[in-house]
Amino acid sequence: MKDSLVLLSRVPAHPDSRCWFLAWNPAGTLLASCGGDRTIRIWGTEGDSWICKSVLSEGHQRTVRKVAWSPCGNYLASASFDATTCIWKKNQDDFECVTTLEGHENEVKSVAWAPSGNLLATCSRDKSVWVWEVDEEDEYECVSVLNSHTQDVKHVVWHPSQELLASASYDDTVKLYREEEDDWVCCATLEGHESTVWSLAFDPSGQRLASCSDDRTVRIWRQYLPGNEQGHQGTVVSRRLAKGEPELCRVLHLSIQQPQEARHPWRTRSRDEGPGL
Amino acid sequence: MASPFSGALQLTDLDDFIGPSQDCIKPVKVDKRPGSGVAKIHIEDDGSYFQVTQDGGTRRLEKAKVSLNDCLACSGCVTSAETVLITQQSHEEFRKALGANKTAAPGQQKLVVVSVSPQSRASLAARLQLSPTDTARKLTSFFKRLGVHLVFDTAFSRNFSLLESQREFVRRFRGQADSAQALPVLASACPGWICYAEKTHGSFIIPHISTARSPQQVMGALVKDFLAQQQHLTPDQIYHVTVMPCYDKKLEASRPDFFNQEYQTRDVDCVLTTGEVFKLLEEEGVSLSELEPAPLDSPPGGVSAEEPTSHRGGGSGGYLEHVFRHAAQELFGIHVAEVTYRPLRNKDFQEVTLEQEGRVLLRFAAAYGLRNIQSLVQKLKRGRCPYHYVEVMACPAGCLNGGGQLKAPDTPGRELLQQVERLYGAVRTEAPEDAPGVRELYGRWLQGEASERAGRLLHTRYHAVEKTSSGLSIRW
Repeated sequence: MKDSLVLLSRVPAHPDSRCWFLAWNPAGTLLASCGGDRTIRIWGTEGDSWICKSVLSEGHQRTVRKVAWSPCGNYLASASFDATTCIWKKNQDDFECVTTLEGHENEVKSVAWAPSGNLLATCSRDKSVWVWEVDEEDEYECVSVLNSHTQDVKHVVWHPSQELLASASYDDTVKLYREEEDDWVCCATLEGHESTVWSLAFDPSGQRLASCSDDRTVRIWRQYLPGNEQGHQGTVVSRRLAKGEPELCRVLHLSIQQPQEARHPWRTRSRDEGPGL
Repeated sequence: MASPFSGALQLTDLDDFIGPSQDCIKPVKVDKRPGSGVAKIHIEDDGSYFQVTQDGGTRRLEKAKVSLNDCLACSGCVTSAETVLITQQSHEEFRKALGANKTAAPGQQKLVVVSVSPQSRASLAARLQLSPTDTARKLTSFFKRLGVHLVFDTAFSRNFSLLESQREFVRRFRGQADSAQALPVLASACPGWICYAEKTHGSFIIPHISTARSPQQVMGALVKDFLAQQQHLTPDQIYHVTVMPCYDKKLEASRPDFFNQEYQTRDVDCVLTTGEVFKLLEEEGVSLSELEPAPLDSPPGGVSAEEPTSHRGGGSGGYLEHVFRHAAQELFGIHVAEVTYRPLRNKDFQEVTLEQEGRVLLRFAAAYGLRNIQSLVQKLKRGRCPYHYVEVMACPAGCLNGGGQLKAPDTPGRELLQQVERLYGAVRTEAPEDAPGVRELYGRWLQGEASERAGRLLHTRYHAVEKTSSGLSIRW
């Protein structure tokens, strides 16, 4: 089959524990994994095989839930259940923890870098989303604490080109934030999911936002600016996908890839075309 | 429902997932009834519990309840269910107390005192389009109609908070060589900030916090100690209510440090937010603007005035301003006429410096809102805090923007805040040492400025809260 996936390698990543997340660096040469053993592992290829190039083990006291590479590829942020986020700086094959972002009251669930590389967002079970700014001297400062969600916040993601932040929560909503005057504010709330929203992804153009939820649906959202031709009120409308099949597993994570000319397995479908993903 | 508490308090205290058996540590008193030991418990469809004894007899079991007072007084947790209680019950509690007082026997009646904060007054003034003086007088009239005996202004007790803060700073500045934790001094009037500091940064930050009591709690001491003596009453014979711009003040009033063990009474029995007073007005069907103004009561130990007075330095009390000007004079002999505030990273973070011949003698800051508090604490932890004194407030824009202030449905928030600020500032200011009655009270009531009584009644302590990480409470 032309479009099938071929298994290249299988590696035991985090012994005796769960591997929670994986992230490719922007160059596509390294893979960072993190897990319940409180470590972060950096994987790279050596010839045909994948080996563990580095183990970052002194950073966290509890499970590392998520890792995120900075847009330049020189920094790695790790979010942990120990309520802190570590920032690691890459020095050839070594990583050094340059700072620890504290402030969340309990488990940090997600971390994301803005496309500019100057801003970082974290979210936590304490229901808040924090925005951090990094200056030239690698100093991180909390720029905003957003308490818009009413429950555990599971995921944060930045728009690919604007300084627009999106967060997904156990309160069944997705919220969007932008900077207004000198503070960040929640500029939109996307309602529609009937259960926890676990993950979000913007498409590369930033025109659409996909969200997946414990209600076993994936929704695609699109922004309608005021005065749009279709006459939509409010800023966003969602199209719901793939509801109904009880065997459909809980959708936990989404990632939208570059659209290509050839037929692509992640092509979005409308309800009319029947269950898809 | 969005929480009415300050952001700082929300982060530290609210937890929706508390299983009562795990985190609520309040012991509940249950009356033991005589009878045989073993019984089974049967749960009905409607969720009620019945005890079925061996002989088949059933008895409905009472639900174990924690009273609102017990809940507030315990600082173990604040569940969101409780916040609903806290936000909805207080003005009913006030009503009930007034009602009970009306029907009580003469020997059992309490003296009811209400202390209104200048920020709440400004919020009401803005909403009702009245001058601060009219608002103060009409509020006095309204409360007295309900059965309140005395109405005070917490700007009077604020004189003491400011004076103590000034003295404390000078003392700590002079002693900084002896103690690494002497500076910076962090203001203590905001309970949202205090709760956050105690729970999140505990023993690291507590030594830096000023021990001066907030105006609410100084008024508590004035009313339950000085006024009680004057009126030949015991502290529990006074029912003291305060009107405040936020909900966090309710938690401050319930702190064990402000509970009089001997007479089993709190220095402040009930805190009403500005919004709750407004609701009270609506429920009583009273239009404040149409009420006849009543003369203002003289504060305990003070003199009566025709109109209210206030302090310079902004709507959160003016701590930075007063401590700065006093320190400049006392430590360097420099008289500062006007304090210049310089906004830094955002409008809720401002800096003030005292310079002489290019050298910075004093560097103070005002940090409002959680993001700035966070920044400040991080700097402190890294040993990079350049400030000698910081006025810390949990709410962006300060107390005038507290969670309990009135909102206007047709006025945008910012415009309303500006109106409130204007009305707050439209009151004559005076220096705390010049306020009539203050010096005399230091003599008569406290027996000296640095006396043991002054230390006990005008200062307080803070307690680091250790986080309990029980395995049962881990959630993924």
